[in-house]
Amino acid sequence: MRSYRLLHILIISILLSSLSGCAAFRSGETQPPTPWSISKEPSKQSISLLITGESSVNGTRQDVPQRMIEVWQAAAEKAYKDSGFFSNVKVGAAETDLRAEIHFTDRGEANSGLAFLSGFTMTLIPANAQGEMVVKTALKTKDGHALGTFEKKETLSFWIQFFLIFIMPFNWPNTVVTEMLYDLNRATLDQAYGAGLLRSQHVTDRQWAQVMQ
Amino acid sequence: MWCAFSKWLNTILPRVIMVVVIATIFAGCMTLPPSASLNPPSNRSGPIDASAWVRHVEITDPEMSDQERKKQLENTLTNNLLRFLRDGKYFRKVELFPGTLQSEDFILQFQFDRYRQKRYTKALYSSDASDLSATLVITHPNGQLVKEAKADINEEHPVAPLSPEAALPSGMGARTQVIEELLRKALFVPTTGP
Repeated sequence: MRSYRLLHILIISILLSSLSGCAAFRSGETQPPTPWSISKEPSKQSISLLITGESSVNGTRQDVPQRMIEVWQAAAEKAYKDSGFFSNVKVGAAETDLRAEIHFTDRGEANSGLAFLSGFTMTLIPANAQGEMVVKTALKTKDGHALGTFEKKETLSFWIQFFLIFIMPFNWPNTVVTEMLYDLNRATLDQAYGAGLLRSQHVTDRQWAQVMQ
Repeated sequence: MWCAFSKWLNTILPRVIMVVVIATIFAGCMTLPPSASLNPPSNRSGPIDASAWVRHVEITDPEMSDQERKKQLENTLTNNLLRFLRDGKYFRKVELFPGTLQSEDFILQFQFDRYRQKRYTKALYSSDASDLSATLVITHPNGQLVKEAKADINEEHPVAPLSPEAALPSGMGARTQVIEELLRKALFVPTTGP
């Protein structure tokens, strides 16, 4: 009977010790979402997205897992499709009117000593990490003529602490990061549209040649 | 209470220690989903005064059976190579195929017949291993062969337990080395005729 109670205590202890709270908070550098601009173009153009990315932790360059690239790609693809600026959005090399070369730079800063201490104290002592995401987009015609380059960035704070378990449902890191990636691409598109770069008359080859003469 | 603790100390604790010791001695090997990142290029020889077009990279490794994953990896590697060739200033201009090509342009086709990454673990020591074999075929738009080069690498490097690489395995160094060797052989080593 006593050993049975000990087993219960052990199981509850393990479950309690495996509980921890984590949350992410955006710096808010990107403008809050507004309704998409309405494209008045009679004929929209198609666009292909070329996604590349790099990642570093405390200044040391890291191999970017393929899964991470796919998350970045999905966020960009969704923003470009939702915008309604394009007749078709493709990913990878494709014969489209426009090409967006999107480069993601993910910089992380973390204190491994504090992370160890936090883990050692069952996350009662908080641990913190900072992340910065930079999205650089080069808009080009299908022949590689550059139309414009845009850079958007935002920083994130990640916290781990036992009592953040109550905030976690509202600031779940994966959800916060996905929203931020979408907003960064959206801000890029808003700026490109505002600059008149997504209008078809700017990007036909013949007219490009006329502009260059 | 003390009795229970004493029993735990005498019977369970030695078993726990034994399991931990066995687990740390046990050696393991894990095949990792490979990635496509590259280190910055170290080219000092270019640029070649021509335009180059990068074809979609092909991975033909029979060990990679998941077709969807293979396709995604090929896309990422193609995009990364485009950027790598531009940053390394290998050519006057580098674009992604297809496009409007001139007759004197080069078309670059990279093909990997081995594209493998593994992690070996033994006791508190672990290492990342890369096994890569690739071919670069350069042609003109009319199909005329300009140069063909082959390169391979079988590399293993230790991973420190508390380093970021312990969580995110890396094969960047080996991938970059193979690609740079292919480009060096194809672009900067003169062909020796019979």
